[in-house]
Amino acid sequence: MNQFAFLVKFSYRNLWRNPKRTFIMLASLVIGTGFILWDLNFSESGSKEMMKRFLVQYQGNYQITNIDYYDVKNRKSVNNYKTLSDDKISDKSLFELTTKRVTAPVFISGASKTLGVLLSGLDIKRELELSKLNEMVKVGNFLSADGNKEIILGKKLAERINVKIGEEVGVIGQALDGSVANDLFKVVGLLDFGGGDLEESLAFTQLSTAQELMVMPPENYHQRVSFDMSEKPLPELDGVAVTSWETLLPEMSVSVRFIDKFTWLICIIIMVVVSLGLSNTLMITFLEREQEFQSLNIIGARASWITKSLLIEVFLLGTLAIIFGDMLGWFLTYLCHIYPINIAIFTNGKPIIMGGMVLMPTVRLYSVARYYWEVPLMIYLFIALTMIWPMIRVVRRSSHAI
Amino acid sequence: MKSENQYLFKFAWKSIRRNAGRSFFIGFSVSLAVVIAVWVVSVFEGLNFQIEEAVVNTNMGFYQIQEPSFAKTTDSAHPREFTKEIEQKLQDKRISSYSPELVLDSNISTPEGSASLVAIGIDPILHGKFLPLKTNIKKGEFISAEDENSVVIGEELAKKFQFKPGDQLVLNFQDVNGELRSEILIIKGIFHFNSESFEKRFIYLSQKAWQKIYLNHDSGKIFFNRIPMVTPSLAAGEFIYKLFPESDLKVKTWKNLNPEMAVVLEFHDGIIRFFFLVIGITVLMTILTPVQMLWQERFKELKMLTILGVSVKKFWKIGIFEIIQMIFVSSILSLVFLVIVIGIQSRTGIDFRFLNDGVAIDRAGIKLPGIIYPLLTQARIFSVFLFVIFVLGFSYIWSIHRTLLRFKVEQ
Repeated sequence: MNQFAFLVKFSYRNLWRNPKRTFIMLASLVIGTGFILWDLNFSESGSKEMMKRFLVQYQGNYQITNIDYYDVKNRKSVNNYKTLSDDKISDKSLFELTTKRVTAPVFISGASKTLGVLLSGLDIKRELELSKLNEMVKVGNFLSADGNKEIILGKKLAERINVKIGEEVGVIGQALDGSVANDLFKVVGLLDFGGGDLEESLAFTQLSTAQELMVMPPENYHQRVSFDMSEKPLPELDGVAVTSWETLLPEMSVSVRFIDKFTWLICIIIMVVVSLGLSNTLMITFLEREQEFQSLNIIGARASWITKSLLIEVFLLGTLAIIFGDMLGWFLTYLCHIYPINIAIFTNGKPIIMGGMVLMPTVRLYSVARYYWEVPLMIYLFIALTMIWPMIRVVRRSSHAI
Repeated sequence: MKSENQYLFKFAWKSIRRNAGRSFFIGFSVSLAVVIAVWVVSVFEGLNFQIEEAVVNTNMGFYQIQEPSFAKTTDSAHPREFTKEIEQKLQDKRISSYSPELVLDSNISTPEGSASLVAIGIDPILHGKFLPLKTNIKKGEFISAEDENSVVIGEELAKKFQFKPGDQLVLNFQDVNGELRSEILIIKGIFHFNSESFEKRFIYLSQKAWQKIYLNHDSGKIFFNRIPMVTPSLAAGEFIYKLFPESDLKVKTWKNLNPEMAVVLEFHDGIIRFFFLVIGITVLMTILTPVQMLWQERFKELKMLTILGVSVKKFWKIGIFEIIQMIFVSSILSLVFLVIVIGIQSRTGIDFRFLNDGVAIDRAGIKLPGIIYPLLTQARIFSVFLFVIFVLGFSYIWSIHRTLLRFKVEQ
């Protein structure tokens, strides 16, 4: 133990023999570690924040549906005849967290055009509690809970079919009994998704109105949508399908995964570059002390002892860098938590458009605990790789002293 | 003077080679960072290029000229005549192809389901130069200018509604007077091109057939709601804004028409810039110490040279020659790596489909590329040189300055 303590002391003193050099090596590692942590936190927070903002408006975190409602091979395709009712869902506690929806692909006719849209029937009270759809209505009003045959359209859709608030639109679709579903609806509000394509393809009405249009029993619906954004695992239910947003929107999910993987790639590249520089510096530092090692060798120090001292020296440097780097990473993340980052700096000031919806791209960063041990591990690994070649070289040369 | 420079140049080269391993390590660090950075950038450039190509190929073109009411609300009721004057202006050599088009939002409803369609009235000859649909007909044949009730549809639409050439398609729409109409069209051909959503959404008729069903008569002329056109790139097409100075026709780029994908590209560019900045700072920090150490080691040597009468100015000259030589070596090393790696991968492509378990992704109406072909442009090669010059130049100048400063103090 004494010998180990001596080795640590010896290595520590060697570190500070050339403080400026040690400081630069330490600084490059600390900045690298701090940046990697900040970057990973930024990527994770950014992806989650963007998706959360997108999902809470309309899509939801997951949906409970009839097993055959979504086509397993292509989730964009649905079988509207496959409905669901509350008695099929075993876990009744989920009713508090979810809202019912009826969906119907229909054609909406205005004064000059007929366009295809997805009409969703909403349980207005629950929707107001859970989603933020009502906040998207910028002209007119949201659907009233006790109203009937009201409709809200996307702003772009209304422009294209040339209708205004208070006017009527014709809705034509296919009812579940095979008949032609058609009715007149009064436009009460216009949705503004910031000009994204979603404004052209969505319309909303009351749940009861949609059920009546689709000739559905009042207890039936198509989806129960959850807006619970916590990272709990999806509920496991027998006899019904629980589908996450990642499955329903693979194009969004793959974008998020791409950014996450790309961030890790950047981190590894940074570490490779830092390691190369560090390796070079270590090599020079060790070679400078070659005569010293030879002297130590002459007075009885074995090659293994020199190796150990160098190992401890580099790992002391690494540990210090990791401690300060973690602190720097945490501080930068905390700073960006207080002062959120506007992602528009990456898009020349333009807003982000996801899934046809324009999002305000401000990201408040938060620390992800696992990165605070994953990154140090990665750095230790790279440091170990970095010192292999300089150490082999110097120990081999020093051991020829006797 | 010339021979002095030659001598100092040789001296600098020998100084670099004196510590060959260490110099190589410095050059290699810079080169490797450059290679990795440029590889990532090339992948993004390739991805952006493929995305842009896919968007342009959704019958969009790089630019579109649109008549005002169509530009505002996609109202098809006020088409303009495709006059000789317009045609002449579009003959500019910077426009590779164009297609005057009439656009009608319509739908079909059958026992298999219903779908929203965009029925496009085209001049088959001009459109053939604009989009290679004719060469991508899988069943049946392409429409001709004289067809009055024929239509070509996409493979995905045909699959969904079980259509085949010769079948009837009942198209529902509101005509120029706003009246609901249903017209029977005969499917002449089925194409397979671009993404599934493109194949599901677009159907093509002759101008004659389109005018007959929507305007209720065939004018015998070519009309348009829009004229999409292909130019070498968006940057090359700036002159299109000046083509019709006194007209009320609107010019839109594909970025105006598909803003979601436009932002994706902007985002990629932003990430690339950020990435370059980070790599630049990292490389700078990591090679600064070894370069400085290399120069500090020569401290005694510099002293001796001063005794022999060499001025500080000459040390700077040696240092600058060293920078030039290191830049040359690192740049060559980087370029050799890059040309080999990107040269191979630009042919074989890099398969990124593992990100989504091999499933093709459609976003904002276009199919995102699964296999990316990296693209190394001249501008990027130029930026590689700039990067190497900056990193090595800064490190060496800083190190020489620090060493000579110490030298001055000690003297």
